[in-house]
Formats: sequence, C-alpha cells, structure tokens
Amino acid sequence: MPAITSANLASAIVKLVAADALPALVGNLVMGNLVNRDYEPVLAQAGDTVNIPIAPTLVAHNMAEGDAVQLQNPNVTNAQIVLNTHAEATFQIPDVTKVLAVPDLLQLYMNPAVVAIAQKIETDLLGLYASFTSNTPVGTAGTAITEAVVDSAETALFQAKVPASEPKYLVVDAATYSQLRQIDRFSEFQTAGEAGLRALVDGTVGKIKDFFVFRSQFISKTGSSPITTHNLAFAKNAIGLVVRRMPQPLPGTGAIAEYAELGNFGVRVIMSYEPNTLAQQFTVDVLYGAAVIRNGFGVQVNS
Amino acid sequence: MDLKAYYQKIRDLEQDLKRTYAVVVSLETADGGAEGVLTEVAARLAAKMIVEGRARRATKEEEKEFLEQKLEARRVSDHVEATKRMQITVVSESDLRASKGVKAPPKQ
Repeated sequence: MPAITSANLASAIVKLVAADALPALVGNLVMGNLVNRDYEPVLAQAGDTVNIPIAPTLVAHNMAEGDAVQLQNPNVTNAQIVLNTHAEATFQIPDVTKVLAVPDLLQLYMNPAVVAIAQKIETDLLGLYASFTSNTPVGTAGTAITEAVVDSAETALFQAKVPASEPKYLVVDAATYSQLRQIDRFSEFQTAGEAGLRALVDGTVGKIKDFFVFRSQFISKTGSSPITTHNLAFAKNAIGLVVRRMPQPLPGTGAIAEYAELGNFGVRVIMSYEPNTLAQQFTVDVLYGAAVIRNGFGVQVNS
Repeated sequence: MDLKAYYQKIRDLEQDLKRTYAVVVSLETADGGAEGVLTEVAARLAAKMIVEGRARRATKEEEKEFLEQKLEARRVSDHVEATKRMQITVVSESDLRASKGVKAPPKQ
C-alpha cells in the first residue's frame, strides 16, 4: 500500500470541501434551478463565447398515397452566451485540521461563501427581465398583481408557442407572492380545492394558471412612486446559464484546486496558504454567463 | 471578448448616466427581441444593455412619456380597484329620517 503523503492529504481536504460546496450552492438557487443550464467539464477562459443550438421548427407534411417525403432544411440557429462573469467567494480557516474533525464547522465557513455566489447568479438571471421585449409587459407598476395579469402572462407565452410540455415559471418578489396567495379564488377550498388549502395553511402558492410560482429576494425593483417590481414569467428555454470549468492553478505554486460538479453545474474550490494571516485560504469560484435564448418564452410581469 | 474593455465601457457609461435608474429602449436582437419597448432599469443594467447592443438610452421625451404612462396606468388601476371596494351600508328608514332631521309620518 503506498504511503499517504502530505500532498494526498492536501488534495483530500480540498475534495472534502468541494463536496460540500455544490449541494449548498444548488440548494440556495431559485432561478438557477429553473433555467436551461449548460455545463460541460471543458476548460474555458473568461470572455469565451459558448454557442447554444436552438432547435428549429419543422412542419408536418400530410403524406398521400404515392407521395414523396418533403425534405426540410431547418436553419439551426445559435444563441451565443459569453462567459463574462467570474464570481468568487473567499474565506480563511485558521485551523483547518479542527474543521476537518468537526464537519459542522466546515459548513459554518462554507455556507456564507456559497450563498454569496448563489445570490450573484440569482441577481444576474433576474436582471435579464429587461431583455424580454418580444412579448408586451403585463401588469401595472405599483399595483397588486391580479388574476387577470397572471392570465395574460400565460396567454402571451402560449401565443409565443411555448410547448405545452415545457414547464412555465413565475418568479415574484415577497410582496407579490403574498398578494397572489391572498387572491380569494386561489386561496379558498371551494374555488381552488386542495391548492387553496395549501395556500392558506402552508403559505405556498404552488401552481397558478400553469405557472409554478416561486419567490425570490433578488427581484429587480426600480423607480420611486410608484416603485416597479420586475417579476418574471418564463419557460425553461427562455434563459440560458452556461457554466464552464476554469483551469487548475500552476503546479508547484502551493495552491490546490478541485472541481465539484453536479447536475449541469460546477464550481472550483482552491485551497492555498495565506502567509500574512497564517491561515488556510479557500476560494469557491465559478465562471458563467447568462443570457436570453428565446425572447418569446419570457414576459415581464410588473407589479 | 475582451472583458477588461467590456467592463470598462459599462463602468464609464454607468457614470455618464448619473442616476440610479434609467429608461432604455430595446433594440431588435437575434434571440427574437423586439425594437422599441421601453423599460426602467438600474443604471448598471442600462449601461450593460447599451454596451451589448440590446438597448439604447431613451430620449428625454420618450422617458417623460414613459413615466407619465406609468403614473397614469397606476392611477387608472387604483381607480378601478377603489370602485370594486365601494362601501355600502344598509340603513333603516327611521335611521335615515333621523339623520336627515325629518319627522316620521303619522301612523294611519
């Protein structure tokens, strides 16, 4: 059996930290889990452009007896997403051995870093609201959301030919979520059945007019009197979130990196020694880009 | 993409805007985005959209008109909501007469 070296141990520490990082990150994402995530474990640099193919539309041909098939040459278009964001969160652990002995302590250090990255991704994704211009925005700034507004958002997406099989999401801020679950027809058993009970008892809206409703603290708000809350209704393929691996640090420089990858998402964890504070320094970082892929698949919902 | 230049342009433009929020007018985009939709965004986001060629800054007239429309839409919405919540109180005939200071007609 080969001897366990200090290099093996150092690698194991980073692996252990990386294993904890990604589940915590994914658990803190709302938007990040609803959009089309594209992840490949290939190395990329900040500024690289990733092409995402968009499925073309084909037409069904009615085949008559003796007829020949009609060849269609669909134009496969590409949505280009630039990896323009390198988000990182760094923390130091003075006594790394103690942390490894007590896994809860590792979570204590790791969670704030991961939450910071999740918040950055959420804010960037929700900031795409202004790019959805294909459908006319619905709702009125500074007024409570109504059933009619939710209805018109769903109608807009239907008219934009969002496939029925594709899940649709409505991500709103806390106040709008509260308004939604106070709409009588959605919160009473006689009109909404079991869902009405859930809204009343559990406080969860669940699904309304084919939208899975989520709330986020990072919904953009602009202006004053009235303040416009920019909620967003969209289908999964409206937004693309591209994540790529970043290269390992130069060997022999003292830094060790490991990748944590799970379900179309990946982060890098780097461990190095900080000589000024005599502590072990950990950096969790991710290289990503977010953009609108299909403009018609999203609509601004103002409230 | 040269990210250094990209972010520098965004920072410069954000400083030029000299305000917290700006109104931008969308430009036609390859993803199907339509031209001419006005949206209010944070200055940083406005700068980003302009640098990426997805929007242009609204003119003073466009911005004024957009903000007026926003206010008017809210006023109309508030009015509609107020009419829905109109209060009705059922008052007996005697109470109504009492409030008006009119004596009840003699019983026949």
